[in-house]
Amino acid sequence: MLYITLLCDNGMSTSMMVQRMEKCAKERGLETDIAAISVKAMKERMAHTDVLLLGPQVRYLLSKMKAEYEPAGIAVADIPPMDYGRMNGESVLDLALKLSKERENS
Amino acid sequence: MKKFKQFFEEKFIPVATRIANQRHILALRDGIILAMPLLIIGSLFIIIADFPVEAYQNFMLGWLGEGWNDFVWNDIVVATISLISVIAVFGVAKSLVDSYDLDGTPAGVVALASFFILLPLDVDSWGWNADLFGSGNLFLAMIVALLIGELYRIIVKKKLVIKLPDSVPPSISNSFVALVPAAAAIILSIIVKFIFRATPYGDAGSFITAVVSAPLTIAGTSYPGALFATFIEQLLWSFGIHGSSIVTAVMEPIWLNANLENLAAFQAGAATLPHIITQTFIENFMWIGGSGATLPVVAYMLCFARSKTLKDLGRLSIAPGIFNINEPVVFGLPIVLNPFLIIPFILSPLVIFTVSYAGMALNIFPRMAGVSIPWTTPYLISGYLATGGKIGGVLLQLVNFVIAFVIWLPFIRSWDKRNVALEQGTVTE
Repeated sequence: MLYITLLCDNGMSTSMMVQRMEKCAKERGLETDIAAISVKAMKERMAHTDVLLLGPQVRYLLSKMKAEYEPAGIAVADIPPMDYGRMNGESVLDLALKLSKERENS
Repeated sequence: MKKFKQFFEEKFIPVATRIANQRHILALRDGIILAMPLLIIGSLFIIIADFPVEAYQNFMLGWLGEGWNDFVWNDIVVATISLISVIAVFGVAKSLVDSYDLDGTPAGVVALASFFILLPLDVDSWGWNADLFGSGNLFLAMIVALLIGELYRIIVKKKLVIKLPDSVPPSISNSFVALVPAAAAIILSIIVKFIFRATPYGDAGSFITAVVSAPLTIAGTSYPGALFATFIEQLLWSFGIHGSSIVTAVMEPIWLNANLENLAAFQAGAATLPHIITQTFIENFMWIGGSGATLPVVAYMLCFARSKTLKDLGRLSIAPGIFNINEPVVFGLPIVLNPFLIIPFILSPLVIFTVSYAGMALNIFPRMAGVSIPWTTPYLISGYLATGGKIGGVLLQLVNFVIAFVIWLPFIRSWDKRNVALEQGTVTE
């Protein structure tokens, strides 16, 4: 099971992204658990996160989130704005898979 | 442009981010959010009670008799909306202390006691005037919460607490942690209370109202003050930063207070409500389908776009757009870092802001009645509800929609043409 967490200001627009990613994951037969949460709720979700993706609107938190969660073994990255705006679940899922692979190799 | 962009990303964004992530500002925002469900449900009852349709009012009057809706103001509003300061003092102190990775709940309780010490008790009737718990003391509540929260944190972190032997179970020894900070806070509050009693203000709340909240409210709800805040919000979004979250973190206490002052005047039956700019003015009138007034853009893409990209984006953005969520438009069109589309994105909110302000100042359009409406309420419905059920509110929203559409039209049309050309391969990026 791959745990992916999407972060935005209050988890509203990222929840649309979650739907699209889950659909892609299902089509590919992948075992994933994807959630959209607000910045505040992240601490509680930490134990259930392998890959943490930031919506572009909270990209400014990237360095803070990296400092906080990378030592715990969580891969942290921001979602490219165009993929986010056009709700391209396919390529964001690919990004998460790539990050999780890199994380396992390192 | 390149130099400007560099300056913006290296200088401006870090400063804005630091302000919005500032611990005390976040504590204010998170603490006040605690009261939001009560504000919204209280507002819902006000709308039910004062629903301005004569047939409905006559029916209720005939069915339940004179004063049928008194319970809304006398029983519900006093226990929801008018408790805002009491909830805020607890919530803000708790959020602040939580942010230091300490248990914030005892700090919230201590702040609550300090706040009540500062309120003037009417000794004859042995009671507090219920008005003291409402928006009038919101700023006092916030200041008390921040100061007591800091006092609590310093005392606990410096380990100036009562220590019990290790053999005592932790759940018991934890309950002693709050004793020293509680004593310090209560002694301090009593001293402050006596000091204010010796001044012409009489109590801390009256002093804060005169010296802090009145000037802040005037500045934050003035035309230039709020216009500037709106401009900063759009500017941040233009660079892909969540501008609304950053700007409202700073302005929310002021704008929410203005909203509640309007509600008090609305309740008293005032002919003209005191504030034009309030929280609902910004969230329900300026954000047409999200900040930047992008709902007209979505409508254009849905109805008139000829390029596949924009047609698809229109279909994708309409459902969230109705609920004022516009990240798909902002990042997908994209508006972010796109100098061409940033022009209408910044311009349309500033223009509709000005038109709405002027319309309300001249009393052509109704002002905000002060009821709290979630910012996700669909446009037009929110205009009706936010003005206390006035068609004028809907008309103003329609006017704003048309203005935003006209400003956006030339830009979105030529952006569509460009995308058609790109799709046909006649030009390249």
